Amino acid sequence: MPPIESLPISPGAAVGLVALVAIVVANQRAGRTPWALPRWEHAFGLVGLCTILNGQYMGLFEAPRERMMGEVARILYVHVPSAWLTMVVFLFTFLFAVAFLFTGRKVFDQLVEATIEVGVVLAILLQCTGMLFAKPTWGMYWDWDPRLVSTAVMTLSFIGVLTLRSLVVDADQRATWTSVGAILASTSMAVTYYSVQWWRSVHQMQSSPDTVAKPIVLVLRINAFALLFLTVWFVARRWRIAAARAREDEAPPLPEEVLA
Amino acid sequence: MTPETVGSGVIQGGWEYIYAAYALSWVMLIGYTASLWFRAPRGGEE
Repeated sequence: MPPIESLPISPGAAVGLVALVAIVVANQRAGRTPWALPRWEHAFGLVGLCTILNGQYMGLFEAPRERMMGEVARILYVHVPSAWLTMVVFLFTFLFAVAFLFTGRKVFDQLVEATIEVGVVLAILLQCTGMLFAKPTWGMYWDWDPRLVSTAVMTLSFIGVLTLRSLVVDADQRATWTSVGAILASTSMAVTYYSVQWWRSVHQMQSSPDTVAKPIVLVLRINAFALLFLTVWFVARRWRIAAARAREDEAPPLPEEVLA
Repeated sequence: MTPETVGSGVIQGGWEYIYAAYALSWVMLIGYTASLWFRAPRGGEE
């Protein structure tokens, strides 16, 4: 891969500037405050987009070659943040599920639905990028390794909860069963996290900033924060969909004269 | 990739896997964003 000359402006900054100009122009035409956004979460989405453009550019072209893994270590800048965020999102699923069972507030049920779906998307990205990393480093896309199997079981468990949710008609029953299922599925998170310590695994054990070179840690952190901002945006947007569906469920039936 | 190409102890090449991983991340991020956009509540929500 030939070295790329430094860009006059980073990709994230360029997209961010264009987006800000577009927002200001659109707001001025509509007579609104220049910096106004329709929803708070869009700020997270915009920052996440700009940051991930910079992070992936750094991961692809600016980060140093890893001493043993060479260039393929660049896959870790996608793989590792998706692993962190998958666990964080499923941890919030667990907390929201417990909160729903204790309080019965519908908002927690909607957040359980949102976080499970976003977590499953991140988990699929995690496993696909893991397979693309495994092929050049381990020589195979898949192995029946404790970390890989436990991650697949965790993902399938949460997909199972979403499937269960889609099959239950009664709203109260659906919310309770989803929360109970999410708590049961969350136990697989602990198994996944500790799998590399409990069993002999080809997968490496947990790293820390002390065991990773500083330039690699910096790019990892930028990509992790980028994905965190995007994940907040995803969860907020998905929660709005869940909330709108709940309002439709709770809407009173139309009077018969309207239906006639 | 053959064993003789990794004689130095460092994995050589692999850019096709790197590009595939980054492309896949964008496909998933854009695809999921599109699915949220299509399912977003209309009328009075935005």
